[in-house]
Amino acid sequence: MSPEEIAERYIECWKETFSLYKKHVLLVPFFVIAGVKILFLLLVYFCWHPLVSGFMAPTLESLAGEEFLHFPMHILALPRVFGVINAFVMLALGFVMLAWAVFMIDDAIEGKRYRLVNYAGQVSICIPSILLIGFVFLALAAGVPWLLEKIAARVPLGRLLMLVGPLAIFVSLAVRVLLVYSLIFLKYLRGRAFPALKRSVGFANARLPLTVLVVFTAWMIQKPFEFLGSRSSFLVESSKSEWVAIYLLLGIIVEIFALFFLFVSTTSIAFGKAGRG
Amino acid sequence: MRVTGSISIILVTLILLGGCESESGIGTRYAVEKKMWDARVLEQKISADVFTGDYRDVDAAIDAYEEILASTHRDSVAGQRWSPRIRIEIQRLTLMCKIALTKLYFSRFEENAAVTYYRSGYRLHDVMFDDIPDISLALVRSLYDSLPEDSVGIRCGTLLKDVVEDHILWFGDIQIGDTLLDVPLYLARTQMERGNKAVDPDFLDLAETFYSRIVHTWPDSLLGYKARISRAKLYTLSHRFDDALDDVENAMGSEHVGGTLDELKLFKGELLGHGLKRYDDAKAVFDDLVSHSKREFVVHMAKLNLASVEMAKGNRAKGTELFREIELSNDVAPKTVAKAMFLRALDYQRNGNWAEALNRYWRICRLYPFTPAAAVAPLVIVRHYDKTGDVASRERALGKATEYYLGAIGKDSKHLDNRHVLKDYLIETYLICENPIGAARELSDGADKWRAANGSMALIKSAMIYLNLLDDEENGVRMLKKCLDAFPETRYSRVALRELNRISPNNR
Repeated sequence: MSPEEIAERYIECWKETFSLYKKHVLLVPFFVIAGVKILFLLLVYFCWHPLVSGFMAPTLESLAGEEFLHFPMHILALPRVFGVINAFVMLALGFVMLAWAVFMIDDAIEGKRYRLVNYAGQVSICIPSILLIGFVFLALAAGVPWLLEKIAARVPLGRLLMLVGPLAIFVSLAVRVLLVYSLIFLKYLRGRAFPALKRSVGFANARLPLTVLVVFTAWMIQKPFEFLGSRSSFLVESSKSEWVAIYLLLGIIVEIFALFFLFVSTTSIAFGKAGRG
Repeated sequence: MRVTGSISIILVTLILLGGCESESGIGTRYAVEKKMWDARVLEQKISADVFTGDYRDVDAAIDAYEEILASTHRDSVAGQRWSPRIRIEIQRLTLMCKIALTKLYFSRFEENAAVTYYRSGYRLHDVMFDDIPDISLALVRSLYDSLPEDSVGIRCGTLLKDVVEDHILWFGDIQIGDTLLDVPLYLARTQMERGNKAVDPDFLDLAETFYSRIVHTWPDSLLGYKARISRAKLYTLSHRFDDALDDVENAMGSEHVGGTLDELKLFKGELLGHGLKRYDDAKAVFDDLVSHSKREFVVHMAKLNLASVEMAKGNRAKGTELFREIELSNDVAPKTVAKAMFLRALDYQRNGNWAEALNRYWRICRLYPFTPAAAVAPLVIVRHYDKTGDVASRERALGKATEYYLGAIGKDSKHLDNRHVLKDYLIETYLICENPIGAARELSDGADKWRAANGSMALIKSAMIYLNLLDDEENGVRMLKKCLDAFPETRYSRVALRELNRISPNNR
């Protein structure tokens, strides 16, 4: 694929995103994910509040230690604890909702009729495979970088230590690039997880520059707020602790649009105009 | 809709179920911790520069801490149920507030408010925290940070008394920090530096008891070892050289001596030579250090002391040779070189060679202006002329001394901490010449060119000369008002305000 062709298809991805953006029903699964995440963020942020401390305090105490119920440890550890909760939400609900969205987007791109409730049966049949894909994705995209950082903390790596951060980002992005099509192919491979994963790797590999560009764009949309949220110690020291939660909240909202762009683009690359050029 | 409904039902159930097992007070504790954090941020801003710190920050920090105390008080009066664990934690936090408030009120020179908070904090002993003695220690530490101010020093002594008499402290398993260990010594030195001929005997007793109790309570610990050395230094200040020597020799035999053995030997030599006049014993110690110590600083100091001992024994040639050796060496610290030059000048003066001595004294001021030797040199010169009755030379020396002191005070150098000493020496120089008004004017004029803390302190000193020595209330008040106007948010503007209120409440 020539650079001009890549640019043309990349622009097509954005066009498709904006045209489908007007069809609000396609956004519903993304809003559900965001809604649940916001709910959990609020529960974790206000875990000390009398209304919720009854069940949140013991839960978080066992998850993050007693220190988490004290200020400023609560704020300092908020991004990390929310990161873990985020992964659970994605695994329990997020991937199912994403599959739901992708199935609808595929039909919308192909000009077929789509109604939210019509996909309930199709999605529920695929739930075990969706969960498996979700697990593989999280294990590789989040687990491997986490493992790398753990190793770096224990093994003296000398100058190689400088490479751990970039390597973790690279692995995370590479997994996203290679597995991003798996939910789309799940629809056409009768809900079989492993063939979908295999097909996704092959398909992404054949359209590597364009896929990398799309995945990187979605990642970059989310990154600023994720980065700001992770500066919790700076914000706490400047007496702006509530901004940690605000940045995490903005990150969730921005994620709706990043995911929408990602899945509209990749579905379009697989079966729409962006794939046909 | 079905999904949303299910999630809502699950959440409501969890709230109802979990609410039953809630540990009451987590929310209050969290709110207090958050407010404490914000107040501490303000406090740290002030601590960053206690002398030039903006007083609006002090006021804001006081408001923040008092609001915490008020809100926890409101909650407890309102009958909020807290679990026993949370109750103790909240009490601990309020105690920390009281410590902070004590410190802040002291820094605002509002002693009564400070002591009220201190006492109410101290009464919380009844709560019997495991580490309650730390609280009293922290209070003393806080006050120590607020130094130097005479009134604070006196109050600090009172608080030290509370610590000494605190029975819980001496039977508990607690840690006393190095800084706290220095408090009595620091206070005693402060008293000496402020022109007192001797340290207040009551305070000395108190400080000695403090160190002795540590030595007896933890004789073999590192703390006991450090307390023994501090006690030796305290004995030195009160000229109890035999007792000091006992402590130093005991410390030298301790397992904790480690890399400090050479310093202790140096200390021992100084006690023997300068305190007890046992010159031969002192010489043996210094000779040993010069030959065997691997630490350059120790070798240089031992050489300097050896030279003094030789001089005292009457071996002027040997002493002079050693002083010259130090002066000509490239790797000796300026402070040590200046001291060697000063001692040599003093020797010339004692032996009647005033011209040579004078030459050396001014050379020290020129070459090493920020050393203690340079600060004293002009004073020695003016005193000499005053003693000999040579008024014309005394006036000339006064002019030169003023030039040196004003230059050193005004220099934007890193030697900030000796500026108040230099101002005191400047005043003393003028007082020798029976010209206090000259000192007051020099300080007042200098303040226009100096920066906040430096300038405001000069105006206060000038005001004190007018008020206490010249009985000139008009100019005294003028200086205080000038300080308030020119440096409104500095530590010394508070002193000015307090003094103005003392003179006449309507002066403001």
